[in-house]
Amino acid sequence: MGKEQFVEVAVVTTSGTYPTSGYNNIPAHQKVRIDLEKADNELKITSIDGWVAQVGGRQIDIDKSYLDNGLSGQFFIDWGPRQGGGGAINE
Amino acid sequence: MNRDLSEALFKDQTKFCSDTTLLLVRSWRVVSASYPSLEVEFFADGRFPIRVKLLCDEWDELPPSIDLLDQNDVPLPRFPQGQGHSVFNNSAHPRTQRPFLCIPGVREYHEHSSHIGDSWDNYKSKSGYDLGGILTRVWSAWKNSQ
Repeated sequence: MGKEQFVEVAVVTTSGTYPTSGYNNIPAHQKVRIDLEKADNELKITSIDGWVAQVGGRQIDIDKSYLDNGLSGQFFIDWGPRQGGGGAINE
Repeated sequence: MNRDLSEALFKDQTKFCSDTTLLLVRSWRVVSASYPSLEVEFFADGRFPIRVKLLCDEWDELPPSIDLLDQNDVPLPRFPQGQGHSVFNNSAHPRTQRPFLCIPGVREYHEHSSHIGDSWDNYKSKSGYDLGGILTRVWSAWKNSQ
């Protein structure tokens, strides 16, 4: 058995940061969604329809693990709503 | 809308303006956050910064009225161009005669004749439609524009 890998993660939103200081130490094979759900609960975010998670400006798949998203080390997840609908057609 | 209540809600929902981690991660700079106005600049590599001004009088009975400015506080004559279905509408808004942001959570969207049936009441109690959420949506749109 190889030694389990960990990542250090903080979730950043306009409702606050989870954890409030420092980072959570999380198994790298764990799905991203699990820590986001903890952040939602802690920050009292009740609906995440249409929200996206980004690391370093790149959107990640929250139903995949940190490893599968190519993430390692220490980083922030930027968690928030995408732009939404409306708009005009630009050619 | 009671002004004191509106101001209290504004202050509560602009606490992120002192969150240095968030501001660093998103490359945001808070110009001012004084009721009823919130002004934040967005920065990104290779782009001119943009200043977003949210006028939040009557918050949250009404959504904020939003305009885009340059760093000298001059309203942009044209908004950035998005690809395909853009939320930046460069036609003159009937009330402001200015380009406008065409997304739910923006006053100009809800009062436009094209969206008169899509009331702000459909959104105001949802997560992601507080002031931070609306600003995040504008930022997201700007990042996807040119």
